[in-house]
Amino acid sequence: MERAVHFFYRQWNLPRPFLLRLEHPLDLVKLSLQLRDRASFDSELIARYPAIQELLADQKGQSSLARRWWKTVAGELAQPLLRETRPKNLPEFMRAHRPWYEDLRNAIDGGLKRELKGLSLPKFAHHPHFLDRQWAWYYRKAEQTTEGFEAYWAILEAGLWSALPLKSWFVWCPAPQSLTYDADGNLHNAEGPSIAWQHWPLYHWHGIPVSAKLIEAPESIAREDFLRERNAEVRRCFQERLGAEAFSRLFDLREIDRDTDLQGQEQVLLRTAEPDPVAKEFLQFARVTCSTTKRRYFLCVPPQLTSVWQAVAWTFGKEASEYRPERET
Amino acid sequence: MQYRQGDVLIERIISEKLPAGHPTQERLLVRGEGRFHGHFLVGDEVEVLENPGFGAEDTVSHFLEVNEGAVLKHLHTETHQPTREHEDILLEPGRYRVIRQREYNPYARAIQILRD
Repeated sequence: MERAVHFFYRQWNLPRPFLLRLEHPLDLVKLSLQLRDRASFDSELIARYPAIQELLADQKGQSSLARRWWKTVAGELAQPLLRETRPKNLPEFMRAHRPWYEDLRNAIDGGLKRELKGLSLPKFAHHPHFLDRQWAWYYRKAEQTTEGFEAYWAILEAGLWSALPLKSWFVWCPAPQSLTYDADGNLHNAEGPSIAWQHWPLYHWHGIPVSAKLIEAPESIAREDFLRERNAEVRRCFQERLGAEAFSRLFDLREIDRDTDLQGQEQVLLRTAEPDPVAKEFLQFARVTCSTTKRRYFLCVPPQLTSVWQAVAWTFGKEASEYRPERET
Repeated sequence: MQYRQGDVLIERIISEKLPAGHPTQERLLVRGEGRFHGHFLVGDEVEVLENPGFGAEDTVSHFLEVNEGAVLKHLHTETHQPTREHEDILLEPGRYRVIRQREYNPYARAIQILRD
């Protein structure tokens, strides 16, 4: 990695940069925000990486080299290979692999956004980046590659996820230590993180981002955890993860009414056996079934509703007599 | 006439003109949260108005004027590939309102919009 990075800096007549390896993209984002907004120093970050203090003090280190990396990698390394080999299969190859890369990047970006709670993600250098493996891996098999390409491949092979290339510092973080998928290719792990960095694990249930608690300690899930979650898909994950029995036990649900919707799918109105001690009223749920995926969803509805049609119609602000969707997908 | 795609209900409006709203070029009607999924309206001759009163009490998010037919699709917001979670819904020319699904929070005694 070090030798390969030095190769590029030498090409640009820059002195050898200091290499600083952070643990995961969240730290890289935090550092990036630190550089963008120098007023607020993240003491925790500095405590973990003392070199960051030096970096922040180094005025020269603060200019980004993103544009130069872009020009070199996209313009000088990738384009000539594209012209020379004229690969008929590359677009097809890229199309076939792109969803996997995109899903992974989106899952990680989603995790970053959740951590940053509303702060906008800093714009990252497109190169060097793990996603470059999409095309670089293909060209790796080409008969002739350049010294520059080989140096770039060495950076990717060293396990880089993304980097913050500065004039006198090259700050980077590695790709996840492990990725776990279900049989359909969705990020998923019932035992631990699906995207694992040592100090930044990300959890998914069949592709849906969920909390560590749901995966690592499902027995500690309380009613409030479920009701606090407002995303219908994540709620479905709660139900699937806990299992129908544990989920019903969590709420001690009794069936009040049942019918099929106009697509023939089951819909049920369920109510807790006793009033909830905190809410001081019965909790009531409409359990509906998606006609496309057959997945079941629990939606909390007001306790005064007595029929399942009334309950499902209420979720769209309708009376039971006004709610008759002729097609549901 | 009503069609449902996941947490979105599309309802035909029998009216001479659309209710008042803010015109928008945005065709991503509902963006999923944290998953890069969304409900997109695809069609050339379509007018979309945002409902300024949209909220937990008035769950109509948009009004649609569909002149030559349109399709409601559930797509990945970055790649625009179908998610395979919901099939397309074909909308005949006409006027429609887009209604978001909501639910009750018994602890806050509040009504909240669901996020797909």
